[in-house]
Amino acid sequence: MLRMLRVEFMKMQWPLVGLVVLLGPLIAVVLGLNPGAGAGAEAWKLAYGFATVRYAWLFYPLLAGVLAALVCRPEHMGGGWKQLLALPVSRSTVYGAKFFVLVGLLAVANLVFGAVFIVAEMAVGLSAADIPWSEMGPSLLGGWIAVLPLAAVQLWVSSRWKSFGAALALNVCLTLPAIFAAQSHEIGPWYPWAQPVLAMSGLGPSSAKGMALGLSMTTLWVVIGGGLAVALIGGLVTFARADVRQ
Amino acid sequence: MSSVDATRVAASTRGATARGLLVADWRRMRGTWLFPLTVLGPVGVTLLGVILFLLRGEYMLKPFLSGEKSGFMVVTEQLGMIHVFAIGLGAALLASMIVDLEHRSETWKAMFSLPVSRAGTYVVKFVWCAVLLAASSALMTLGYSSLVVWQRLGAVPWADLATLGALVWIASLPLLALQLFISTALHNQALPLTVGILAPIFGMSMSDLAPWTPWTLMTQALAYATGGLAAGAQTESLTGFGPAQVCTVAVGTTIVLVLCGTLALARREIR
Repeated sequence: MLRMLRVEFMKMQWPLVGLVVLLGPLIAVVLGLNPGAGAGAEAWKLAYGFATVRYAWLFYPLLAGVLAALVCRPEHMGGGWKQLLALPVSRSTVYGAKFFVLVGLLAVANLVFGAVFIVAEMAVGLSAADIPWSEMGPSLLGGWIAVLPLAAVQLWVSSRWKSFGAALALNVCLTLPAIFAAQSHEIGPWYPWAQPVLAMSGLGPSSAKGMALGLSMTTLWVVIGGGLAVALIGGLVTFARADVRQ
Repeated sequence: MSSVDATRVAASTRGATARGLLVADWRRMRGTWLFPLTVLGPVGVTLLGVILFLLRGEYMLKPFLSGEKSGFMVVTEQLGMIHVFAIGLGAALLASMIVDLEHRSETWKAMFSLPVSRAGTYVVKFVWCAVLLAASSALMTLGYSSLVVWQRLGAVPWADLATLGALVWIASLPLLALQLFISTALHNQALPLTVGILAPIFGMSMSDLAPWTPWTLMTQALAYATGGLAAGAQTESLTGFGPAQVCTVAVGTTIVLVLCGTLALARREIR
């Protein structure tokens, strides 16, 4: 498995991956630095709220799709699937390695987002003493966990569809309704593509009991846990049984 | 392609007439995802509107029933932003797909060894994408009007809907020109598509980007056409371009970007 991961790392188109993983979060932060409401801990929280909305509402779910397509691209391009699967590695190992790389990159994107946010806000004058670590930690972790099912869905389709555009088009179609879903209290907790922003920005249900990582326990287990299990198992079964022609 | 077709294409492009180039590209586009995508975008947005009305219709209709908002405002308030995203992402997808035909089958070389103008070829591809986007915009307008009729929101506001469709379409042309430029210059479509899908997000909602960039201009058009009521758009970040400004900026930027793309293709060495 470790060697498989190393192989995946070698195949990656690092310039492009680096571009989206580093530059994307950077732009999301820089596009609106200071909401202009004083100083201190409150200003940090306000700025963080705005930054997460900009970052996690559409960008982060779409990033999952882009990265999933990029992870599968080397195999689609040169007829690599057949070569790879002809080696003595199990299909589930191949799929698992791709999934690990994918979620690893998504974690890096979130960490970059957090780091850039702190640096940029300090650069515009917020004090380092007031950094809301206790809010940002669970938020960054929650956003990453919430994006896992979406990543699994995208890996499912990206591993089977040759076309980069088709996988991304599906990703966009599923992500855009999150604009509405995240605003609605009835639909919001149930729509998987709205969970990253709900988890990160504190837009979710406001009652304090039975909550974890900014989401209700039901959402966390049923929508995210269940969604991840279904998408991951579905993707794995599809991949294991697929008739690989090239 | 049959040999008869091939001779006809060759004959029609021999003089590299504009019509010949247009027809040749039409033939190449047939059977690709370009046409289905043009239709699916507006259908998807309209369906999303239907779902919205079914799920939270009462909430959305309340301001209309109390006379606060017109039927036009009710249907565009939520869907307008999605409309802009769909057209913007559509521009990226169409631009990539129309040149991917040549990239993948390596036809650039075959094509340009014939007496075909490179500039003409590029401009024709831009024109086709623009036409497809216009068709999408027209269908989007029909989608809105069907929602108005279905929800009994009064007479269909054709003039407002046409302004919205046309203005957003014009504002999308710089983005289309930019995407076609990148997609033509690069063989690997991963970068153009990635940029085309991720970049508009930062322009279309809540950003400090200047209002004239290809990514923000469409939001300006939407804000004007819907009277500033765009879901997800912070009104204070919009400096309020009027239709004349949107059109001037759009046409100016488009001409510059299409010229850049044409020059890049004309001077490129094709292996």
